[in-house]
Amino acid sequence: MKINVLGAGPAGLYFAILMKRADPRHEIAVFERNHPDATFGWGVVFSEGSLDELEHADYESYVSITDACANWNPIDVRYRGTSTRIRGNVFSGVGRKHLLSILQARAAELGVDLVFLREVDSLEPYLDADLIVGADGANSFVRHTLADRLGPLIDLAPSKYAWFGADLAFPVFTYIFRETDWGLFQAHCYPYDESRSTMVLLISEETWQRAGLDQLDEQGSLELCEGVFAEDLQGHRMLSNRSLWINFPWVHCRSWHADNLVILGDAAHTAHWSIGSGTKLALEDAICLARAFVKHRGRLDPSLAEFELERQPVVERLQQASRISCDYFQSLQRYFTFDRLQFAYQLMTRTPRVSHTNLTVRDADFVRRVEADFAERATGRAGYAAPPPIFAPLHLRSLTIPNRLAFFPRGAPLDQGAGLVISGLHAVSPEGRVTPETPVGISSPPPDGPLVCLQIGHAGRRGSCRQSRFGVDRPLPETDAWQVVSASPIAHAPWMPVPRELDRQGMESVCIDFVAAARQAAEVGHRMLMLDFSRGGLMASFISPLSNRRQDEFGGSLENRMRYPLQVLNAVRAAWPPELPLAVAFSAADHVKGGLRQSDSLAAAVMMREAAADILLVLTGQTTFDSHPEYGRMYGVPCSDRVRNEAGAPTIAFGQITTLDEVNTILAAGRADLCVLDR
Amino acid sequence: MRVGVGVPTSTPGADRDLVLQWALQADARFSSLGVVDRLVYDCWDPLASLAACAAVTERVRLVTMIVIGPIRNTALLAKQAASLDALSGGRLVLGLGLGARHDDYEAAGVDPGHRGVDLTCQLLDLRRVWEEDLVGPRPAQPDGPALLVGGGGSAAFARAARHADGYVHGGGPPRAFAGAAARVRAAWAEAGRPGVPQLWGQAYFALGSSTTIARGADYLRDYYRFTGGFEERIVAGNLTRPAAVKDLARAYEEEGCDELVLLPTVSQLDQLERLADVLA
Repeated sequence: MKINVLGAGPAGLYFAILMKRADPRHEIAVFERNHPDATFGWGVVFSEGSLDELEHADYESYVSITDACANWNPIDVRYRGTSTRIRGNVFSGVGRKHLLSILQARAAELGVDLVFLREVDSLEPYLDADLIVGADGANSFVRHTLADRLGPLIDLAPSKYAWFGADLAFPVFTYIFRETDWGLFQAHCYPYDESRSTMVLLISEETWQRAGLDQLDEQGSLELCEGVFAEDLQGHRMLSNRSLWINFPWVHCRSWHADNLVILGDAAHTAHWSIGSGTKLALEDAICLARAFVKHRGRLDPSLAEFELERQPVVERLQQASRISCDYFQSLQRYFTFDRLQFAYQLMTRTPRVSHTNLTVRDADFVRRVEADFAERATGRAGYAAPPPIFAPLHLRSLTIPNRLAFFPRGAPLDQGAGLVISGLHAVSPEGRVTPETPVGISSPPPDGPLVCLQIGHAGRRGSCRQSRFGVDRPLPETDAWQVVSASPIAHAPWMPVPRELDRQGMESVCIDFVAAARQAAEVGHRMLMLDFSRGGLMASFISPLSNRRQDEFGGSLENRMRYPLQVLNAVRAAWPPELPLAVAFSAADHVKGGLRQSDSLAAAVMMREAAADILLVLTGQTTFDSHPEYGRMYGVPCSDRVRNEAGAPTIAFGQITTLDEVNTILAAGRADLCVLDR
Repeated sequence: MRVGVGVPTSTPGADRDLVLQWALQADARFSSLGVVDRLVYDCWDPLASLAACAAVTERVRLVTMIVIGPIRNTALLAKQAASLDALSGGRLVLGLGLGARHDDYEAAGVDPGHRGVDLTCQLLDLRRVWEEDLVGPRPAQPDGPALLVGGGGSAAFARAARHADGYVHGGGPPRAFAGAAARVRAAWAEAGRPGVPQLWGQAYFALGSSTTIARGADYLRDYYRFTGGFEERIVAGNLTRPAAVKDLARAYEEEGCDELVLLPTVSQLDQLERLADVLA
């Protein structure tokens, strides 16, 4: 085979090495625009454990690379004048230049033709090969040229980052968070040899502008950053080598190959540097592709198909995790009220790949301290050790919820173990029923067993439906139907009836119904009440701009749209015993164009908190028929996290939370105060 | 987990004798007979094919995986499905999806611009037509045939959970099925439906000589040519070794699949026997 590789980064060189190893008769050339010694980016880090795969792929380079690596396992988190160490992580780092020189030497030794200082501005000269490999990085020329075949999607992260070096070896991987007058500066630092470290700096666009970094040249920017991190540098210097401030580009491609052209590594997909996997992904791409060629004896189509088939799911998972990680680092200021242990815990568990149990395996002592801390916040009692967060009680007014698990009811025996059972909807009036079977009012005391949170509400335009055995939102036949009401005369779905706009008199009467239901609930002995302001019901129809087009003081701005739900909340609060907690179930996102904005959703949460809602059940979607979240593990948690830590309201998280380990992680990281377990 | 088998209605060379023999022999050995749907392709209509199968079988369930809903008039589809359910003695399971090709919509003269909403409305209308006996006949099953929804993203998961009885996965490694199944369950929980969703899976197979395997690959390449490059991946996923069939079935079962339907890729009656032997 004749193979032309464009780009002499880790992916291109390693692929050339492996192919040449597999069959020395392959004619392989690697073309690179830069000088062999030129490199940008200081050290690279391999998180996620070992480089075992390299050992089997090419033992010679594996030995050289591992010899060149600095290894460490603790992470230090420097935050608000504190430093917290978490042990048991596995990292290694190596100078990028060193890594490339090892790979260059190995490639040359095997007989790969290395051509440097060759600017590729057309694919034409390279097409005389059986296989052309685009390993030319995140700004890939190959990908750009074949855009219509590969379907690349590129978007930029909003924050700014820059790669610097430093002439000191940080003892371990170190996260530094420095608050300045311009805003927060973060540095992710790792040593890559005995005397040098990489420092990747991350700041928001606003901070970048306020600090004047948009105006400063390379030297000016270096000096400013040295000033910010002076305490951490201890007299050492930061180093700049084309250390420009840029926005991270997310690269996704529909396909990684077209005919006999294939792209690898960053050219095909980027993963945010904050999970430190870009180089590892690139090397694994090369291994997978080379292996596929061996398996299929050089036949192009099945090899390229297998390469994509095998790699795409792996890459997608990592990209997803890295996106979450990037989002986290861009928004972590919301956690600046956390104490240092919880802050560090939150950082460690920022992606779903690291859970409470994983972290316990890594550093049991750290988790013990986190758990003891959590229990102390919950009970006021300090101790050496405590049960996991799930077992901590939650105090709301005079009520103690014995543990942090909430269930939606599935029948008495199955509901045992819950700290709180959130009841099905009880309608405040017959018009407010979802189906003819929805209970109206509250006539019976709470059953024995776990504590019940009684949910009351008004179905609004989602009322007058059949039971949900065969599906939701199926209107009753006309003979059984009743007139439904909503904020505006807009149907929930095209097949559902247009509701009547609720007039002032109707609003007053529904409010009275809510109050009456709350009084009944208190009289029969309920101790916790939840108002349903979610999922397209009457109250939700006022909050979402999709369902509220009113011209009066209850429509338009968020303040106006919240006016009526808040009146109801205030009225119920006044009627509900002051020593008992009141919760609100709230749809924090519509997931539909033109729906509730994130800032409005947080502002609404603040208003409800100030109106004395003690805890919010954070739901998303179902406000219109086509509104749904992107399902996935713990999909509802980011919303709960925002509401809790930006709006300052205690939350109950819901959305594909399926294991107790996930619950512990969510609680300990401060993303919710209670979790609804999907069963 | 129950295991069904596809009917060769789109593989080259399939004829009346093969399909009737296939159905007849599958009746005692498999839980269901599945058909796929495509308008602009040399393949048979899924409901007509299942009607033929219904006539020569007694016990297998008849499942569409899927029929492209929005290109069909809902009242007609409701009548066809109810008739098929009646003719088969209540054995129909109706899987519906959007399909993946615009040419099917063009040929049917249907605007694909709002096919998602169209499919959702269709699910509700089918149920209503049967329940309220709007056109007749009534399906043989008292609650009507179970409705399944196929498709990839969250919109499909939500549609299956909110408006159908379950989900039919489009095929792929067990991990892909597991991911989709977890999302459908999550959407089901979100919708507050009682019970659990039915979860169906599917996979292609070709068992036997290298000629058979190559023929199966050729068929898949041709059938999925419209994907512009993805056909090789589907070929790579074709189950061509007994161990691969067993492994996949075992893994799907572990992930909570209720019924796995294995679709043939060649028009050979021996495939049925070979598959039954592997699964025995």
